[in-house]
Amino acid sequence: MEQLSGEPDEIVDLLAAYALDALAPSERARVQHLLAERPELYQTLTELRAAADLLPYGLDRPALPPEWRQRTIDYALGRRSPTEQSTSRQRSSRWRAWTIGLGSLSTFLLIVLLVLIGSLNSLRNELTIVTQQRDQSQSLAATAQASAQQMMVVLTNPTPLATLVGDAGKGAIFRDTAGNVFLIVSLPPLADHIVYQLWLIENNAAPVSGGIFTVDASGYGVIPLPNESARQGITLAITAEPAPGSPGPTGTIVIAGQIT
Amino acid sequence: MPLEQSEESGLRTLTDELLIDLIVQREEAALGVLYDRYASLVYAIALRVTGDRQTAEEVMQDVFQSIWQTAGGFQRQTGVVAAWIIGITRHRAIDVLRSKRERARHREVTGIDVRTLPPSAGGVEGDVEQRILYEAVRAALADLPSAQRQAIEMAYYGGLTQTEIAERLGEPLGTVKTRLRLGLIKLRDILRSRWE
Repeated sequence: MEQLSGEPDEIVDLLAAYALDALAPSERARVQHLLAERPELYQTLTELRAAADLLPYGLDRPALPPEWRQRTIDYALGRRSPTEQSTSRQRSSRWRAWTIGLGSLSTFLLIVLLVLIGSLNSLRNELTIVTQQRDQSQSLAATAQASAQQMMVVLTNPTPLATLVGDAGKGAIFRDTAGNVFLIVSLPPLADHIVYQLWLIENNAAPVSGGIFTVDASGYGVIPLPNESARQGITLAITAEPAPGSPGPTGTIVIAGQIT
Repeated sequence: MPLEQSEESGLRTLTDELLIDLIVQREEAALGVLYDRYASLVYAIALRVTGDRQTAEEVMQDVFQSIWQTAGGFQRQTGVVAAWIIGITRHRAIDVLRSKRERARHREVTGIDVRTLPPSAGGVEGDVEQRILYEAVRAALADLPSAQRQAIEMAYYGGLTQTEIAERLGEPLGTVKTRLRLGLIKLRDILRSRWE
């Protein structure tokens, strides 16, 4: 078994458990602190994550009933909700019972009921918002994991086209076996309204934007680049800019490097 | 409104990334094609995590709803579509699993034998690359000592921390840490050797 650059077992234990999401929050914070202190550990973490993310490909895939397809798509598009359908039927039955009962109730109780329904609608709206926020969080977390898997491609072609360095972090540009060019960075996470922006500078011309990107909570990011950005001699620089990016660099350069 | 098959057939040769672009533009036929590519994998993961077929179907519906609603977010921070979908599925399924655990803490969740599931009707067989990956991962897992494989699967599919794994197995925490470390490194080495 290949050693991990002579790292102590305690550190590799943490990285392995981090890659598998098997750490308690306090331990996760410890790993993130460790990564901030020693960014070179990202390579090991990325490899371990990539291995973990391949696990589902080993699962047997059952044949799904054909009717699930339309049902799932209708649900995704908000046209149908199996649970809500049965709930609405129950709600309709209850409403009929309520209607009969309300005939004998006073106007005061009716007003109270309406107020309660209003409160329930408000709660339902809040629940919808919370659910959407949860979905967005899960999506972002999944995107970060997806980026890690792309590193698996790098493992077969570990020589970078360029290395970007600076006080704030570091990055490297790779070309995978399919010819795609992408940038891997380790940079401090940014506030919501700030993005990182890549600038391409050729022959002392004005910087041209190569795109904007963010990094995940641990500072890790993978960004696909246009093939022309990998031409020899091009200088690449990254600045922090107000979202959704700037026509020209306004922030200081956090890392920079040149295609060799 | 049912999806038009002719509309979908024109999308079947597109890459995952282009399908996501179309989903961002609210092209529901693209979601149908993405369903055909990934539904069985999504369901397999959800079933592996939750251990319940009905719950797995609900998770699958949630996943495709999430894809429909958050595809724009994927474009802003690009990764691999397949891994993105797997990540959504795993997080959602583990969320459901944790909710279940709170209601029934004694339930055993990691003993599902996926070998009892019926094989895919043709999705996997029709995709050589996926098939090679499937065989590689299966072989790599088979090469792992069973205790290491069990610890890794309890973490990845069970959503358990290493401390929780140690408690469930009745093993010292240090033993579980070692199993996770050695198992994942070995898995990485085996898989990497297949690409080199």
